[in-house]
Amino acid sequence: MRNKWTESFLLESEDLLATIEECALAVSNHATTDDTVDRLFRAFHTIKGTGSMCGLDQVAGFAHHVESLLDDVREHRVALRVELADLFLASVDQIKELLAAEQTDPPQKVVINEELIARIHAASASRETAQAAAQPSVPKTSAEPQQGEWEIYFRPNPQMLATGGNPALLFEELSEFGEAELVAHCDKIPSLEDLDAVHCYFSWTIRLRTTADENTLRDVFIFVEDGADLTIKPITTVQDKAELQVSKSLAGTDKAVQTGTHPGKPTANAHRISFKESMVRVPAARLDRLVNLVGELVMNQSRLAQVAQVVAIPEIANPVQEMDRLVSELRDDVLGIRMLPIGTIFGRFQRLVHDLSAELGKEIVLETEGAETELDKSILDQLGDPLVHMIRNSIDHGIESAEQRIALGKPARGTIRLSAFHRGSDVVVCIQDDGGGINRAAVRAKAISRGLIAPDVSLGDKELLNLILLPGFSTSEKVTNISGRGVGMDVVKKQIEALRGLLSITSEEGKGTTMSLSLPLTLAIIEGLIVQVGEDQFIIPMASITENVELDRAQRLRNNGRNVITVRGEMISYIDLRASFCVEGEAPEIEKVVIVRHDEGRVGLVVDRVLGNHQTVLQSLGHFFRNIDIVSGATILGDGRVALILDIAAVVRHVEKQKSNLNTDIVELVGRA
Amino acid sequence: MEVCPFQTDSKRFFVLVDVRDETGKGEWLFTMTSIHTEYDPSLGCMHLRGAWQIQNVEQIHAELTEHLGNYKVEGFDLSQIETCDATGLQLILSLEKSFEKAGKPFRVLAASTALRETAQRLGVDFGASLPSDEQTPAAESAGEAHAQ
Repeated sequence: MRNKWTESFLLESEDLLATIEECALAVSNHATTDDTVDRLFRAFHTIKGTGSMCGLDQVAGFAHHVESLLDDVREHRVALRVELADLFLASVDQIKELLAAEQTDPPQKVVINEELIARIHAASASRETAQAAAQPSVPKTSAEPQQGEWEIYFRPNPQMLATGGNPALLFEELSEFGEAELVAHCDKIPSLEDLDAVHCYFSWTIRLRTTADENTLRDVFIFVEDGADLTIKPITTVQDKAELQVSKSLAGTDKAVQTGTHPGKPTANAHRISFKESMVRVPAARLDRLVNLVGELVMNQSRLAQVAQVVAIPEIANPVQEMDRLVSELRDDVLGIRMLPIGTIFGRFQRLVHDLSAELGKEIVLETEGAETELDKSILDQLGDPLVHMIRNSIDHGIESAEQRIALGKPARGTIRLSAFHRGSDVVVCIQDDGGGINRAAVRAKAISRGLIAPDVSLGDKELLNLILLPGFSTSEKVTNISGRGVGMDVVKKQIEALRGLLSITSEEGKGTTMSLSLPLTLAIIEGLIVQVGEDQFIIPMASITENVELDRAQRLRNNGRNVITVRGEMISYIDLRASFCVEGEAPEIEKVVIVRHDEGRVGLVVDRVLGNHQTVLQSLGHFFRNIDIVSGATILGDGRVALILDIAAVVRHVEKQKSNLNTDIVELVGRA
Repeated sequence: MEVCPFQTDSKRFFVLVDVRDETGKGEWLFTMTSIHTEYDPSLGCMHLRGAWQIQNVEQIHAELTEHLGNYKVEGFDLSQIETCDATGLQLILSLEKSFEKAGKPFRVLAASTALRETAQRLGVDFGASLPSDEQTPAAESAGEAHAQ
């Protein structure tokens, strides 16, 4: 059984491996920054150190090989070549394999890829020639490293002691590099009444005379950097030394050196290594529970507000209003906790594009934009697979080979652009490629050959493009292991609709294709419109509503049974919810049509009455109702009644299926007659 | 469940906890607890002892807070602190801060080697607060008074 440290390491390693992938791809794309090598080194170093602490010796041993190579790169003994990116990526795969084996019960033994280790060693062994190639302009001043003086200021993460950190061990390690002087700053320690006994109030200044360089000193703090304030600066000037002397005398007489004058106060010249906001890892299940509880609270508050409105007692109205405000704030904050930048999943697509384009021999670059756009974690978790499928499609079917592109006058390297931005209450994610675009003629021919459309049917451009979203549709001539089995885009569409999102396609032949996903910010709480049909009340998500219009009986009669209404010259077909849901009783003289967006078009839902808006929390209907797909959940109204939340796309599908069955029945009846 | 505490010396309690069920299955758990603070009213001296480490520091903090509210403490004997880490040292510095805040002198009668070593390793200079010898006459007499 794994202990909590190993669990924590396995979680942390996901972030570390993502960092390595990001940096390796930067190396591959000639897009490195000043700290790329350091980030790579630290990530492998942390995997090695923490893996070793957790008893994952294979992981630690393997990471050690790459760490040694990176040390050579860091010290300019080996040049940072593009070929190393593949080694780093292969190392990520190896470590992932080792960690995955560790998570099986019982843990499986994995055979380490010795060839990969040999390649890593071979890259390290090329250090001498690389040094000459990589650093021709750096003069070699001296074979002996020079003695220097450093001033290190360290304020640990306040949780360092509570999580088992021992600062004394850090200082011992530092003192191994040379002559060290240590001064503790105790001025932040409060009196007993205000003390949190496991919180770390100490900070330290260390002055060190050593031949070690800044990177070496920084490595000492590698496991305690998170949430810490660490400054390392060389002491070079006379003024520095004079300050040192003053601080030394202060330190000798008073252990509580004032913060404002302590020698470690970061200065403009100081190189700040890390100042990260303190972070806490919380299991997603706990957050889900918190969101559920807040959801219950929001619903009950909504009921309370409705009751308060009915009883109309002023003494109750004010506290209820205040409670309403507080609950709204709490709801926003709690939902905010689950919001993650979409960039957290963008990283994996860089790797996908790198690997697949190499496999297909295409030159493709993935550009991302709006990585900071936030979405609810539950949506992000379900968005990964559809995006993977669409990006695969772009790589496999969209972007042409380099030769074809050059012949067409395009740059040899194709581009896939993944962008995210806010539009109203939605987040729009676009996957845009500069490939050949969708061949309409091929799509039409394939649809006819599959019997999806009649040969003589006339389709608009959007309808034609939307054919690729039908089950089993594929225009690829050959089935590859990347895409082209024709079981993709319909699944993608369903997945997006399950997220209450919309998928739209635009394409220009010869220029490229854009797939746009419009998604809600969160799935947990929705703003809805309460409508009534007979005695039943339903909720229609407000985000999909465009407008409401009236429909009187005379107008219905004029339609001769065709469910179509004209709104400002636009013909909109409508669904009679009373008929579709088999609600008994007679419809009122004047009904309401709630017009909602659906599949880039609009459709009307005919209801008896519109009762008002209602903020609601999606509650699952549970196991027994799992086959009812026309509702996405339920909520409790102010009077205690349950209202079903309609899934618009599913309602439309349901009605179309009803019609199709009816047509089949009629055909059968006619046949029998 | 049955709890059987018994004292072995002046510093520690051993506790046997019976966690067997009605069928006799289960086991006796053996746990140990320590007294970290003890007040000697004859000298007005608070003896601090045992392991001042992260595992116990919250308990010691609570004990200290309670004692300081109940007794008039003139000085502290730190000579029986067996082990000490950064949290233990921090607690002693916090204790000193409480005395400073109350305008009272913080007198240390004696300090153990373990405490001195920890202070040195963490770069904390107590200055004149710690007496130079581990066991001062005052602390010895306090210890003798306590033994009687």
